[in-house]
Amino acid sequence: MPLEFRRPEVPDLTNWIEATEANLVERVERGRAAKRHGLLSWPAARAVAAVAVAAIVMAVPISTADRSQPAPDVTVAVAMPERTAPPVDLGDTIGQGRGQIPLLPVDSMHLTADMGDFGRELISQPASDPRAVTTPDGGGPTQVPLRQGPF
Amino acid sequence: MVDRSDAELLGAAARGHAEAYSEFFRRHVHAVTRFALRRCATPEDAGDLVGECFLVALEAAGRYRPESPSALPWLFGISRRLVYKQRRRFVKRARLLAKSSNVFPRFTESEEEAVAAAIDAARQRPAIESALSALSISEREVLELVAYDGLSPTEAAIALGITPNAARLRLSRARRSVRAALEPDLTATPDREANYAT
Repeated sequence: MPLEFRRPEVPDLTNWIEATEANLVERVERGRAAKRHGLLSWPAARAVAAVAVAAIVMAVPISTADRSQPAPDVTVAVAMPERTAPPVDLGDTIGQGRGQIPLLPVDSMHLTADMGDFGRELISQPASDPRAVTTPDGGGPTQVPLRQGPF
Repeated sequence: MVDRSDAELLGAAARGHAEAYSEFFRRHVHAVTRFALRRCATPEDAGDLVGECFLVALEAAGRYRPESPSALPWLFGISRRLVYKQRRRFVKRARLLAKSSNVFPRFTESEEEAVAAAIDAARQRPAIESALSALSISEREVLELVAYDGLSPTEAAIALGITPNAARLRLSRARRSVRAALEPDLTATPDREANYAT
C-alpha cells in the first residue's frame, strides 16, 4: 500500500474569506490615509527611533567619559562656521572598542552643535562638505582631543 | 491581461493599493487555510492564523524579496512562526481569544462546523500520524510542507529558513523513517509515497 499524504480539503468559506478580505482592504486604506495625513509609517517610526537611540548611545560615553584619562580612540573635529556655534564632526572611531552597536554610519553624519543640547539636530550632510568644515579664515577642521572639546 | 506576480502585488500593496492586496489574498488564502487546517487545534485558531498571516504579510509587504516565483513559501514561513506563537500562548488562551475576537472576522456557524470537520479529517490517519509524531520536529516540518502543502524541497527550505540541501537531507531522512514505521506494507518501491513530494 503506498504511503498517501492526502491534503486537507478546504471547505466552502466564502463568507469568511470575503469578510477577511474586506478587513485587510480596510487596513491597507487606513494605512494609506495615515500616510496622506503625515503620520509616520511603522518603518519610518523605527528609523526615527534608531536615530534617537544612536544619539543617546553616542552621547553617553562622551558625557560619562573619565576625564582624567585620555580617550585616544575618540576625537572631535571642531570647525567654526560663520554663524553661531561650531558644527561638530564625529570621527568614525566613536564607539569602537566600547562594545557598542554602530547604529549609524558616523562618518557620514553631521551634528550641528547649536550646542545647548547635544545631538538635538541631525543633518544628513557629508562630513566632507566644505561648508561644514571651512572656518571663517578658510582653514580646515581642527582636531582636538575629546576632553578638550565642548562637552 | 497578464497576471501580476506576487512581488508586484506586494509592492503595490505596500504603496497603499488595496485592490492589489485583495488579489494577493485571494490567490493564496486557500493554501494558507489548508496549512492551518493541518496544524491548528480549533476553527478559531485556524481563522486567527490565516488572518494574522495576511496581516503580518501586509505589514512586511514593502520588505518582501522574492526568493521563488511564488510568495507561498514566504507565507508558510510566516504561518509556521505564528503556529508556534499560538502554541506558546496556549495557557493564556481565553484572554487572547477574547482579545483577538475583535481583530479578525469569525467563521459563520456553518463555516465553523465545516472547518472543525476538516481539521478532524486531517487527523483521521492514525498510522501516518503516529509515524509523523516519531520524527524530529525539523524533519516533520519539511515532510509536511512538501507532502501536505505541495512545496518543492527548495521552497520548503525558504519557508523554514534553511538551505535547500538541508531540506533535502531532512526530507530524505523523514521519508525513510516514515516508511520504516509503516512496514511491512511499504517496503518495495522507494519514493512511491511521494505523491506530492516533487
